[in-house]
Amino acid sequence: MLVRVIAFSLLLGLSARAGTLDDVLARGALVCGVNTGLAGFGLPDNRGEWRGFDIDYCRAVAAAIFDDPQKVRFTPLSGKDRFTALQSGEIDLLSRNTTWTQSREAGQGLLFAGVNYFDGQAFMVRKARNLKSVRDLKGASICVQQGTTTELNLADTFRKLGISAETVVFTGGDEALKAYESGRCDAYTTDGSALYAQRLKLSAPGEHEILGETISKEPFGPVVRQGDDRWFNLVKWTHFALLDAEELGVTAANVERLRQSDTPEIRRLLGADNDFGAGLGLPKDWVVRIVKAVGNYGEIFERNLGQGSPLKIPRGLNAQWRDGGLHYAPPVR
Amino acid sequence: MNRRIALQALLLVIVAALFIAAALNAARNLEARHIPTSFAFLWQTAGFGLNQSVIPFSPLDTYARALLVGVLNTLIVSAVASVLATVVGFAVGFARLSAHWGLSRLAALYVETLRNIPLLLHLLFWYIVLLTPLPQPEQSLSLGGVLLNNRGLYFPFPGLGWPSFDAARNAFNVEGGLRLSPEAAALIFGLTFYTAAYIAEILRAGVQAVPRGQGEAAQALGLSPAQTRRLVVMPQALRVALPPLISQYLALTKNSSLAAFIGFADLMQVSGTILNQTGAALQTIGIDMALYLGLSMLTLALMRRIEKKSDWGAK
Repeated sequence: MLVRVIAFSLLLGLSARAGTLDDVLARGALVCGVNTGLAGFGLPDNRGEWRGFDIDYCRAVAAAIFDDPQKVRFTPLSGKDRFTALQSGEIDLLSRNTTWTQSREAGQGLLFAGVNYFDGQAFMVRKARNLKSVRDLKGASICVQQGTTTELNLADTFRKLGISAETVVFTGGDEALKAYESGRCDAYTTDGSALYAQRLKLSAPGEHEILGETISKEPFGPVVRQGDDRWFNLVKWTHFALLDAEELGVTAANVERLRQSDTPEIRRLLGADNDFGAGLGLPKDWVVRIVKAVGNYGEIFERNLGQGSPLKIPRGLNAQWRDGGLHYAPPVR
Repeated sequence: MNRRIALQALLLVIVAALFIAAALNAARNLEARHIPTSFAFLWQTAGFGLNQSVIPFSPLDTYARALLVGVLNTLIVSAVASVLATVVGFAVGFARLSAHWGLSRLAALYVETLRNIPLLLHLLFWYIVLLTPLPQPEQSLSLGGVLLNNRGLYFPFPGLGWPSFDAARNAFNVEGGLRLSPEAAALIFGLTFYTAAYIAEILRAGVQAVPRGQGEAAQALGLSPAQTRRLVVMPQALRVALPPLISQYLALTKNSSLAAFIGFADLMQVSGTILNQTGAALQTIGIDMALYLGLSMLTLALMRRIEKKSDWGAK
């Protein structure tokens, strides 16, 4: 962190940057800030290849620009480093389970390009304790991983409920989880998505449950710097295109065939008639490139987090609006 | 001569101008990037809780007070560990110098093993060693009003009452009493035994730096071995040992910043949370650097006093 800040301070003089898209094109690769390792969201596999939900978002942007999802350089970032890395221009895009909050946009010069995962802070407890709600944790010891708004949400919730609890804060998620497993804590709290991933690391995952109650709104999304509207639009519409593709039934398997579809919405989305890419600095077939590379939103979700993954997270709030979820993308037209 | 002074002055002006230009440039660019540089956030409500504090602290207090809690925790743990490390280090150092072969080898083994393992592993080791065998609060071990479980060691304390576990009042934890948390204990143990290995070697170096003739002369004058050690060898040995010893206390204080890995609310851990919540990276790291520097200066001032008083440093 310190090295980053110092290097950043020293480099500040050499600014005068062209547009982010021009930089990316000149470099021949997108530099994407990702999690240092979170199963389902961003983790290198046994061949060192990055995989996950957030990773696929980086690949989608790279595919839109280069027609090649491999043209991404991944920069693993901790919770503390991530914003400095983005502000300083070390990365072009932050795709790392980051919560959209007011202060991050109003105070830190960041812009969230949308919500790609609706999460909420939840609690993992021992089944044997037979706890029903957060209120039952009165007086308990709770292990927390530092690096998010987790500690704040926790303190707020207990204050609202008028009960007290001990919070034990760890730098690393693994240490916090180990302390919980050893019995030091009665509960372990972090974003629900991460709890599902961390539960798999316990020696007896079956003995632990995740309380259904969530205590915060954690809308995750890709983040860019303020001051480059064109780049912001490109990332935002990559996200919307993934959602629209799912809504219209466009998948990695059928996208080529659907270019000849008669449905007007699909024809527009895939650039069969008019050019909707130019305004973003992209070619006409930008959505075809994206979907061919990573599939639509639903495919990304199921492959990394849902039924096609070990996590088996239900779609829940992350379903399309027609299916009772919150995802509702503006149309391409 | 005048020309040299003029040249020096010119150089000074150039260097100063460079620094000022760099600072102004950085400030302008920081503003352009919307990176906050104000320290006003210190007076905002912290909003998070801390489980270890020697002063009253609630989530409604300010970030500044949270930082103070962190500094005090760092200070207390460092002070306790410094004293313990000195005691253990001297014991091991004397054992190393002992004529008894087994004792000396054992001390050498201690030094070589402990100082060759990274401190972070020491801390994680002690944390696991302390947590694993201890019972849950329901089955607390009890001795004369003192309770021990995997949440800590609870002592009766005036004003805080007797510690007790009552499932009706709190189904999870012991209430009342003064608590030493497993995190604080692991940190103190880790820092103590790690630093003691270095202190033992510093003591050995000090004693061996005293010429053998000094001890022989003292004995020839009829001083007992104990008197020789106390009156002749040790004052001279400590004079040599003191500067590196001070370095060890400084290192220990800075090493305590690994506390956040084992869940202890030291300065680094608290400021890490503040950094995350406010996004004030430059300010928080600046404050941390200033505070650690301050703590080091404090240690240094204290040691200088001891050095002067004891006359070890006398020429």
